[in-house]
Amino acid sequence: MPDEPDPDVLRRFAQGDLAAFEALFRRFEGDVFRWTVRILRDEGAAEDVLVDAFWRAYRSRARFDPSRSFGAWIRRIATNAARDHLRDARTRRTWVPVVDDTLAALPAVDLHVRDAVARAFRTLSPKLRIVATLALVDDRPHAEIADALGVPVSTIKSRVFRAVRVLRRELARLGVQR
Amino acid sequence: MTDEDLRLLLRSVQPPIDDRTPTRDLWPRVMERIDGGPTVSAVDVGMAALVAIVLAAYPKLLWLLAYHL
Repeated sequence: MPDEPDPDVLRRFAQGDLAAFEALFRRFEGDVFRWTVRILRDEGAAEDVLVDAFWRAYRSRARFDPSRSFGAWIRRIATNAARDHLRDARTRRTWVPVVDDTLAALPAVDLHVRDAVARAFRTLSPKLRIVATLALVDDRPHAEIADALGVPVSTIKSRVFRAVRVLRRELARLGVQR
Repeated sequence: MTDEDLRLLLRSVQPPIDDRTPTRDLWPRVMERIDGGPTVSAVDVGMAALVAIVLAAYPKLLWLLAYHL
Protein backbone atom coordinates (compact mmCIF):
# COMPACT_ATOMS: atom_id res chain seq x y z
CA MET A 1 0.00 0.00 0.00
CA PRO A 2 1.41 3.47 -0.84
CA ASP A 3 2.59 5.80 1.92
CA GLU A 4 -0.09 7.95 3.47
CA PRO A 5 -0.43 11.34 1.80
CA ASP A 6 0.04 14.75 3.34
CA PRO A 7 -2.58 15.42 6.08
CA ASP A 8 -3.48 18.66 4.32
CA VAL A 9 -4.48 16.71 1.17
CA LEU A 10 -6.67 14.42 3.29
CA ARG A 11 -8.30 17.38 5.03
CA ARG A 12 -8.99 19.11 1.71
CA PHE A 13 -10.43 15.89 0.28
CA ALA A 14 -12.80 15.58 3.24
CA GLN A 15 -13.94 19.12 2.48
CA GLY A 16 -14.68 18.22 -1.16
CA ASP A 17 -11.59 19.59 -2.93
CA LEU A 18 -11.47 17.81 -6.32
CA ALA A 19 -7.75 18.50 -6.85
CA ALA A 20 -6.98 16.76 -3.55
CA PHE A 21 -9.27 13.88 -4.55
CA GLU A 22 -7.46 13.48 -7.87
CA ALA A 23 -4.10 13.46 -6.05
CA LEU A 24 -5.42 10.66 -3.83
CA PHE A 25 -6.81 8.80 -6.85
CA ARG A 26 -3.44 8.94 -8.64
CA ARG A 27 -1.65 7.75 -5.54
CA PHE A 28 -3.95 4.83 -4.67
CA GLU A 29 -5.50 3.66 -7.95
CA GLY A 30 -2.76 1.07 -8.54
CA ASP A 31 -3.16 -0.48 -5.12
CA VAL A 32 -6.98 -0.51 -5.36
CA PHE A 33 -6.82 -2.01 -8.87
CA ARG A 34 -4.46 -4.82 -7.85
CA TRP A 35 -6.62 -5.57 -4.82
CA THR A 36 -9.82 -5.77 -6.84
CA VAL A 37 -8.19 -7.88 -9.57
CA ARG A 38 -7.13 -10.28 -6.82
CA ILE A 39 -10.73 -10.58 -5.68
CA LEU A 40 -12.48 -10.63 -9.07
CA ARG A 41 -9.79 -12.25 -11.30
CA ASP A 42 -11.08 -10.05 -14.12
CA GLU A 43 -9.30 -6.84 -15.13
CA GLY A 44 -12.33 -5.32 -16.89
CA ALA A 45 -14.58 -5.83 -13.87
CA ALA A 46 -11.80 -4.57 -11.59
CA GLU A 47 -11.68 -1.31 -13.54
CA ASP A 48 -15.46 -0.88 -13.12
CA VAL A 49 -15.20 -1.61 -9.42
CA LEU A 50 -12.28 0.80 -9.04
CA VAL A 51 -14.37 3.61 -10.55
CA ASP A 52 -17.29 2.66 -8.32
CA ALA A 53 -15.06 2.57 -5.22
CA PHE A 54 -13.61 6.05 -5.79
CA TRP A 55 -17.08 7.40 -6.56
CA ARG A 56 -18.33 5.91 -3.26
CA ALA A 57 -15.31 7.40 -1.47
CA TYR A 58 -16.03 10.86 -2.86
CA ARG A 59 -19.69 10.55 -1.93
CA SER A 60 -18.71 9.58 1.63
CA ARG A 61 -15.87 12.10 1.97
CA ALA A 62 -17.57 13.98 4.80
CA ARG A 63 -17.46 10.82 6.92
CA PHE A 64 -13.72 10.30 6.33
CA ASP A 65 -11.54 11.04 9.35
CA PRO A 66 -8.30 12.67 8.03
CA SER A 67 -6.40 11.31 11.03
CA ARG A 68 -7.04 7.73 9.81
CA SER A 69 -5.40 5.82 6.95
CA PHE A 70 -6.83 6.70 3.54
CA GLY A 71 -5.27 3.56 2.03
CA ALA A 72 -7.09 1.27 4.47
CA TRP A 73 -10.34 3.22 4.03
CA ILE A 74 -10.38 3.10 0.22
CA ARG A 75 -9.37 -0.56 0.23
CA ARG A 76 -12.32 -1.38 2.48
CA ILE A 77 -14.66 0.57 0.18
CA ALA A 78 -13.21 -1.26 -2.84
CA THR A 79 -13.68 -4.63 -1.13
CA ASN A 80 -17.34 -3.81 -0.47
CA ALA A 81 -17.78 -2.67 -4.08
CA ALA A 82 -16.19 -5.92 -5.32
CA ARG A 83 -18.47 -7.96 -3.06
CA ASP A 84 -21.50 -6.06 -4.42
CA HIS A 85 -20.28 -6.80 -7.95
CA LEU A 86 -20.09 -10.53 -7.16
CA ARG A 87 -23.55 -10.43 -5.55
CA ASP A 88 -25.07 -8.64 -8.55
CA ALA A 89 -23.50 -11.14 -10.94
CA ARG A 90 -24.82 -14.00 -8.84
CA THR A 91 -28.33 -12.50 -8.73
CA ARG A 92 -28.33 -11.92 -12.48
CA ARG A 93 -26.70 -15.35 -12.98
CA THR A 94 -24.17 -13.75 -15.29
CA TRP A 95 -20.78 -15.27 -15.83
CA VAL A 96 -18.05 -14.05 -13.54
CA PRO A 97 -14.77 -15.65 -14.50
CA VAL A 98 -13.01 -17.55 -11.81
CA VAL A 99 -10.18 -18.36 -14.15
CA ASP A 100 -9.60 -15.29 -16.27
CA ASP A 101 -7.85 -16.14 -19.52
CA THR A 102 -6.06 -12.79 -19.45
CA LEU A 103 -4.47 -13.88 -16.19
CA ALA A 104 -2.60 -16.71 -17.90
CA ALA A 105 -3.40 -19.84 -15.95
CA LEU A 106 -0.72 -22.44 -16.10
CA PRO A 107 -1.13 -24.37 -19.37
CA ALA A 108 -0.23 -27.72 -17.82
CA VAL A 109 -3.43 -27.84 -15.78
CA ASP A 110 -6.01 -30.28 -17.05
CA LEU A 111 -9.08 -28.63 -18.59
CA HIS A 112 -11.42 -30.78 -16.51
CA VAL A 113 -9.70 -29.66 -13.31
CA ARG A 114 -9.88 -26.00 -14.34
CA ASP A 115 -13.57 -26.36 -15.03
CA ALA A 116 -14.18 -28.19 -11.76
CA VAL A 117 -12.37 -25.51 -9.74
CA ALA A 118 -14.39 -22.81 -11.52
CA ARG A 119 -17.63 -24.65 -10.74
CA ALA A 120 -16.63 -25.21 -7.13
CA PHE A 121 -15.81 -21.52 -6.69
CA ARG A 122 -19.18 -20.54 -8.11
CA THR A 123 -20.91 -22.43 -5.33
CA LEU A 124 -19.28 -20.14 -2.74
CA SER A 125 -21.18 -17.09 -1.52
CA PRO A 126 -19.45 -13.79 -2.39
CA LYS A 127 -18.13 -13.32 1.13
CA LEU A 128 -16.65 -16.83 1.23
CA ARG A 129 -15.32 -16.46 -2.29
CA ILE A 130 -13.48 -13.23 -1.47
CA VAL A 131 -11.84 -14.79 1.55
CA ALA A 132 -10.99 -18.01 -0.28
CA THR A 133 -9.41 -16.14 -3.17
CA LEU A 134 -7.37 -13.79 -1.01
CA ALA A 135 -6.31 -16.33 1.63
CA LEU A 136 -5.95 -19.57 -0.30
CA VAL A 137 -4.89 -18.40 -3.75
CA ASP A 138 -3.08 -15.12 -3.12
CA ASP A 139 -1.87 -16.09 0.34
CA ARG A 140 -2.69 -12.68 1.84
CA PRO A 141 -2.36 -12.43 5.63
CA HIS A 142 -5.61 -12.93 7.55
CA ALA A 143 -5.12 -9.60 9.31
CA GLU A 144 -4.94 -7.77 5.97
CA ILE A 145 -8.12 -9.45 4.72
CA ALA A 146 -9.89 -8.73 8.01
CA ASP A 147 -8.95 -5.07 7.76
CA ALA A 148 -10.21 -4.85 4.18
CA LEU A 149 -13.53 -6.48 5.09
CA GLY A 150 -13.94 -4.69 8.40
CA VAL A 151 -14.34 -7.92 10.38
CA PRO A 152 -12.26 -9.61 13.11
CA VAL A 153 -9.45 -12.01 12.16
CA SER A 154 -11.41 -14.82 13.84
CA THR A 155 -14.21 -14.26 11.30
CA ILE A 156 -11.72 -14.64 8.44
CA LYS A 157 -10.42 -17.88 9.92
CA SER A 158 -13.95 -19.18 10.21
CA ARG A 159 -14.76 -18.19 6.62
CA VAL A 160 -11.57 -19.84 5.31
CA PHE A 161 -12.53 -23.00 7.16
CA ARG A 162 -16.06 -22.95 5.68
CA ALA A 163 -14.79 -22.16 2.18
CA VAL A 164 -12.29 -25.03 2.30
CA ARG A 165 -15.03 -27.40 3.41
CA VAL A 166 -17.33 -26.34 0.54
CA LEU A 167 -14.54 -26.44 -2.06
CA ARG A 168 -13.33 -29.84 -0.95
CA ARG A 169 -16.86 -31.26 -1.02
CA GLU A 170 -17.62 -29.78 -4.46
CA LEU A 171 -14.33 -30.90 -5.97
CA ALA A 172 -14.87 -34.42 -4.67
CA ARG A 173 -18.38 -34.39 -6.13
CA LEU A 174 -16.93 -33.29 -9.48
CA GLY A 175 -14.41 -36.11 -9.41
CA VAL A 176 -11.27 -34.10 -8.62
CA GLN A 177 -9.14 -36.05 -6.14
CA ARG A 178 -5.51 -35.44 -5.29
CA MET B 1 -7.38 -33.97 -0.12
CA THR B 2 -5.40 -32.06 2.51
CA ASP B 3 -5.58 -28.28 2.95
CA GLU B 4 -2.17 -27.95 1.32
CA ASP B 5 -3.26 -30.10 -1.65
CA LEU B 6 -6.28 -27.84 -2.07
CA ARG B 7 -4.14 -24.69 -1.97
CA LEU B 8 -1.75 -26.09 -4.56
CA LEU B 9 -4.65 -27.11 -6.79
CA LEU B 10 -6.28 -23.67 -6.56
CA ARG B 11 -2.99 -21.92 -7.26
CA SER B 12 -2.27 -24.13 -10.24
CA VAL B 13 -5.56 -23.02 -11.79
CA GLN B 14 -5.57 -19.42 -10.58
CA PRO B 15 -2.00 -18.13 -10.34
CA PRO B 16 -1.53 -15.46 -7.66
CA ILE B 17 -1.85 -11.94 -9.03
CA ASP B 18 1.34 -9.98 -9.37
CA ASP B 19 1.69 -6.37 -10.52
CA ARG B 20 -1.32 -5.16 -12.49
CA THR B 21 -2.19 -1.69 -13.65
CA PRO B 22 -5.35 -0.36 -15.31
CA THR B 23 -5.19 -0.40 -19.08
CA ARG B 24 -6.29 3.22 -19.34
CA ASP B 25 -6.72 6.41 -17.36
CA LEU B 26 -9.82 5.87 -15.22
CA TRP B 27 -9.95 9.35 -13.69
CA PRO B 28 -12.30 10.68 -16.43
CA ARG B 29 -14.74 7.85 -15.65
CA VAL B 30 -14.66 8.71 -11.95
CA MET B 31 -15.44 12.35 -12.82
CA GLU B 32 -18.27 11.29 -15.14
CA ARG B 33 -19.73 9.21 -12.34
CA ILE B 34 -19.49 12.11 -9.88
CA ASP B 35 -21.05 14.53 -12.37
CA GLY B 36 -23.82 12.03 -13.08
CA GLY B 37 -24.90 12.07 -9.44
CA PRO B 38 -26.23 9.10 -7.51
CA THR B 39 -27.46 6.14 -9.50
CA VAL B 40 -30.47 4.02 -8.65
CA SER B 41 -30.19 0.27 -9.12
CA ALA B 42 -32.80 -1.83 -10.92
CA VAL B 43 -33.55 -3.58 -7.61
CA ASP B 44 -34.37 -0.22 -5.97
CA VAL B 45 -36.66 0.72 -8.85
CA GLY B 46 -38.35 -2.68 -8.71
CA MET B 47 -38.94 -2.43 -4.95
CA ALA B 48 -40.37 1.09 -5.28
CA ALA B 49 -42.69 -0.04 -8.08
CA LEU B 50 -43.83 -3.04 -6.04
CA VAL B 51 -44.59 -0.87 -3.00
CA ALA B 52 -46.51 1.62 -5.18
CA ILE B 53 -48.62 -1.17 -6.73
CA VAL B 54 -49.38 -2.74 -3.35
CA LEU B 55 -50.34 0.65 -1.89
CA ALA B 56 -52.56 1.39 -4.88
CA ALA B 57 -54.36 -1.92 -4.35
CA TYR B 58 -54.48 -1.74 -0.54
CA PRO B 59 -54.31 1.93 0.56
CA LYS B 60 -54.82 1.01 4.21
CA LEU B 61 -51.37 -0.61 4.20
CA LEU B 62 -49.93 2.90 4.08
CA TRP B 63 -50.27 3.05 7.87
CA LEU B 64 -48.37 -0.21 8.21
CA LEU B 65 -45.64 1.13 5.93
CA ALA B 66 -45.50 4.41 7.83
CA TYR B 67 -45.17 2.50 11.11
CA HIS B 68 -42.19 0.53 9.78
CA LEU B 69 -40.48 3.59 8.32
